[in-house]
Amino acid sequence: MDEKSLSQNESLELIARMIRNTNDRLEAGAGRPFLIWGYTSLIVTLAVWVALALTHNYWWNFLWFVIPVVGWPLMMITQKKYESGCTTYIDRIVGYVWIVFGLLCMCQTVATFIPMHASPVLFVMLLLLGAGTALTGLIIKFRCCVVTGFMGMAMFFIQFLNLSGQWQMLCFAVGVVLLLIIPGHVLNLKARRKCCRS
Amino acid sequence: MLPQLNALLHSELRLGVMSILYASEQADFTYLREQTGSTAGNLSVQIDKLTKAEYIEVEKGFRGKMPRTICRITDRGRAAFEEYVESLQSYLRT
Repeated sequence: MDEKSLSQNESLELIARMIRNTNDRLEAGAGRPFLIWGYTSLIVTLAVWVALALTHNYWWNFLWFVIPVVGWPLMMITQKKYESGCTTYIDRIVGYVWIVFGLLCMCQTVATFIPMHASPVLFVMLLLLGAGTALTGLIIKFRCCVVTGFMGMAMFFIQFLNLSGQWQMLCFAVGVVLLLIIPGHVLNLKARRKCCRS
Repeated sequence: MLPQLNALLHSELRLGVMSILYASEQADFTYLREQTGSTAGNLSVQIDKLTKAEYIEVEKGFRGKMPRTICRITDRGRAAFEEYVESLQSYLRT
């Protein structure tokens, strides 16, 4: 592009193309937050599951707090490397969605430590993560997130099968793979392909 | 009587920059250069013209040790851009 003047049609085409490119942009590392939280949650879930199965000591449940303790610093460390050259309203809205759902997940975790509180925490987490993933998919028009998000939300109803705590953890691990790890990898793959094409 | 097109916006590079900034909250110099396919020197001159007209605002900072220039559209720029698009549409209707 240079400073040349345009016809009216060329101007409108240029405006449409630039706005479309900005809204449809997909940058390297787009799936990074999904993968950081997904793998951290998966590893912690399996660690708690193994520890409880081997020792039957319920103090191991405090390991759940490793998820935010590891997840947040990892997000901060990798943020700089993948910082985008452009920020749109869509980025901001997706950010707000995950702040709200992240806080709800934290509240739900803390609530399980209140005596006499017997909510099925892992299934509520799946419902919240599913809603967050589905909303993200709808906002960024990414079908994989929408599909896995709704599948994860449907997993909420597995709680009515009255599974034991150990099985609930395995269900949660499957949910994490479905809701965070698969969309994260698909998003990264799509971003890589787009970068290769352009 | 057809409205006059805004001469400042009726140039390929400046219109490209304004379109990107209209669709985003902010964009840095590197992103604008990649998207518009322009040279750094030319882009710098056009950004300067848009800044002087108060259509965009520029913030200079650092990303790590690398200098970074971030551009944002102002309310005045947004209004001028919308008016420009309306003028274009009225030209095309006639």
